[in-house]
Amino acid sequence: MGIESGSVDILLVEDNPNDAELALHAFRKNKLTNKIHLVRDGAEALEFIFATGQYAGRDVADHPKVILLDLKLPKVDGLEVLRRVKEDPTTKSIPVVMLTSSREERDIVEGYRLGVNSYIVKPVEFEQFTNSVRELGMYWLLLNRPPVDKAA
Amino acid sequence: MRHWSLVAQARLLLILGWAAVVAAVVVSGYGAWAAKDSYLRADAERQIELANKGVLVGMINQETGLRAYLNTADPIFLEAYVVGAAQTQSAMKDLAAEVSDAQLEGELANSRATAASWQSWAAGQKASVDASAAPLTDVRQAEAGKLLFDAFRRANDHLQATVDATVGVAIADARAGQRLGFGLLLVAGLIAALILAALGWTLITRTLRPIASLAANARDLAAGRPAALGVSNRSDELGDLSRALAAWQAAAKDRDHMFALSDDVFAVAGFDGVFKTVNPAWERMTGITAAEFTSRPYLDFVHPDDRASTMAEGSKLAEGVKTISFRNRYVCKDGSYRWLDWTAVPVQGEELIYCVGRDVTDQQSAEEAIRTLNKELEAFSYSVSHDLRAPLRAIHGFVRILLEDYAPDLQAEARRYLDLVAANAQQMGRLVDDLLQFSRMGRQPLNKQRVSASALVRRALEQLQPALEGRAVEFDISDLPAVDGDPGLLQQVFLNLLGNAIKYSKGRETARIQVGTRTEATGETVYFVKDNGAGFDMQYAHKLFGVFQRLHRAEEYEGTGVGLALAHGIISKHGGRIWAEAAVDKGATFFFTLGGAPTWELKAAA
Repeated sequence: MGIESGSVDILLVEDNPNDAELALHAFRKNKLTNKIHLVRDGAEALEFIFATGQYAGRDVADHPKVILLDLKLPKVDGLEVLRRVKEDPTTKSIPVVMLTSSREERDIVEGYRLGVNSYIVKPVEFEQFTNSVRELGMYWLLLNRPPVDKAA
Repeated sequence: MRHWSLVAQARLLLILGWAAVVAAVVVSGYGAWAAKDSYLRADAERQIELANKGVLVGMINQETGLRAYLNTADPIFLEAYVVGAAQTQSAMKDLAAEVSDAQLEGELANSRATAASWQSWAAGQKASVDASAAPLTDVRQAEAGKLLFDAFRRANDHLQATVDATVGVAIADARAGQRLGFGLLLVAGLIAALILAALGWTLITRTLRPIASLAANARDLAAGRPAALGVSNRSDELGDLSRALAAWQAAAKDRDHMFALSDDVFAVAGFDGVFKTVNPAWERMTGITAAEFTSRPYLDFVHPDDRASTMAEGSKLAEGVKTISFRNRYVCKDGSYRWLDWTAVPVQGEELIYCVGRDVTDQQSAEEAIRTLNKELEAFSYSVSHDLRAPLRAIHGFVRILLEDYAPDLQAEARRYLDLVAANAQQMGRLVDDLLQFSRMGRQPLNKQRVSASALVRRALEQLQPALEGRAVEFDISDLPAVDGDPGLLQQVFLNLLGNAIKYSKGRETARIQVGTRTEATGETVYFVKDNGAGFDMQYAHKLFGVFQRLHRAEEYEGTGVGLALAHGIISKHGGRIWAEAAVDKGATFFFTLGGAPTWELKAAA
């Protein structure tokens, strides 16, 4: 947790501290501990991504390799964050994985409409969650290299 | 005339009238013809009379001339004798030409013979005077001549008398014929006049007056006034007409009662946008009178927000398109609005629209309440799915961390308890998931399409592969007909039924599961899923499809009690039925049908 120096591999947007801790635990278990940054609401996520507010000093071009985005967030909800990221040409190539605690279809449909790259339904079973996180880490951090962004 | 139609009556009278006229013409014609014959006969006989008289005159001239010659022997008197002979001869010739019947011919022969006798005597006397050139003085000779002449005169008179008698008869015949003809003509004329009068009387009293009265009745009926129909006992066309009018009046009365009684509002609107007629339900519903409704364009009474759609609907109607369940609001006297659901048909030739509106205000508010409830329920479910699962994830997650990372520090009993905590958290997670799925099913609109039931079964079995691991299950799956339904939901039904069949047959060495269809007498297709598993006691069958209802203990067979409730909900939504037959330890068979049309469904929330 906390702000790591240098670039960030994973931006975790999660308001529930339990879920956040479990996610970080899962990352640790899968040796994906380095360069994870946790923000606790949608507004903070947008400040981080666009280097504004408390993150004004951050290099805006230094994009996270993947954003894990909870949908139900205080202040600005996950779908709004997703919309802003995908609308902005400088950030739209960042892969966004939706973390949702429900199978409510309309969330998933809306997420895809806004350009989400993938989604994980947070299961109650911890093992499943750990497995999902591992697969996700392998895919987005190791296999799926994002295009080099020339903008900004 | 009671059972005679008017046409038959008129036809009969016309035939009688014609017969009378024809009879009159024939009779008077015969009278004239008969009289003419008698007159002709009388005329002929008068000719005979004239000729007979001519004979007599000729003979008298002869006799007078001869007598003077015989007395004087002066030839000067012979002139009359010669002329008289010529006259006699000529008249005899005329007479012979006229006479035709036997009696007269006999008399004519007699007259001719007596005349010839006298003439022969006369020729002898003249010859002796010629020879002596002296007057005849023999009185006996003169007497003989007189006798001969008297014989002729008698014959002549007799003929004359006979002819006179015949002429009298002929004239009397002619007169009688004339009288008869005239009398018959008079009678026939009278009959014709009577018939004409009867015809006229019938026309006026039996036809024209009743028609006028029926016309007045019809005008009353058309104007909606009660009509006194008084001729319905007649059996002719007017009786038929009056009975038809009475039936029409009765039907109109029925319609009027319905029109007045109906709580649905009726209106006849013109293409000009004004109601022509409205029923009393309007006033009962809105408090606005029929007179007011028909005095202004109906759009004035429509809610301002509904005017555009109402106008559009009106134009469609004017183009001949029927209206089915168009909904708008009409104002009430107190300023409130009532929702009306419309059915309307245009009649283009008359430029009229016939409309029936049902007050659906209560239904509308109920629908709105349901929509609101649905939205709340949706928000609630959404919240449940996120918020209820989060603590479960935390419990399960941290317990697993304890078990994985701190296992060496834990005693066996502590690990067992932690396993139980994790298992319960998992079970509650499943309960939440199932419950959410169940509540979602109720709100989802049906996405009906033709789908292969066999494919649905195949996909359900693919999903059930994990449950089949380490099990010996024999499947007997028939070819299933295609169904009309929501593929996702129907697959869920097969998933739940097959899942149960697999689950409850786990105690069998070889589980046998059969999927098939049968056709009921009604033609309905019944799908079934049959197993040879644990079955259940039919006395609890009524609990089978209730949410969270379970017929088996949790430690025997895991589950949440939602699967069959979900299947029941899905089948009901399709308009079908689901039921089961089973016996303890003898397996269970679940049956379901898919109705043609879905049961009433909430309109999709806006």
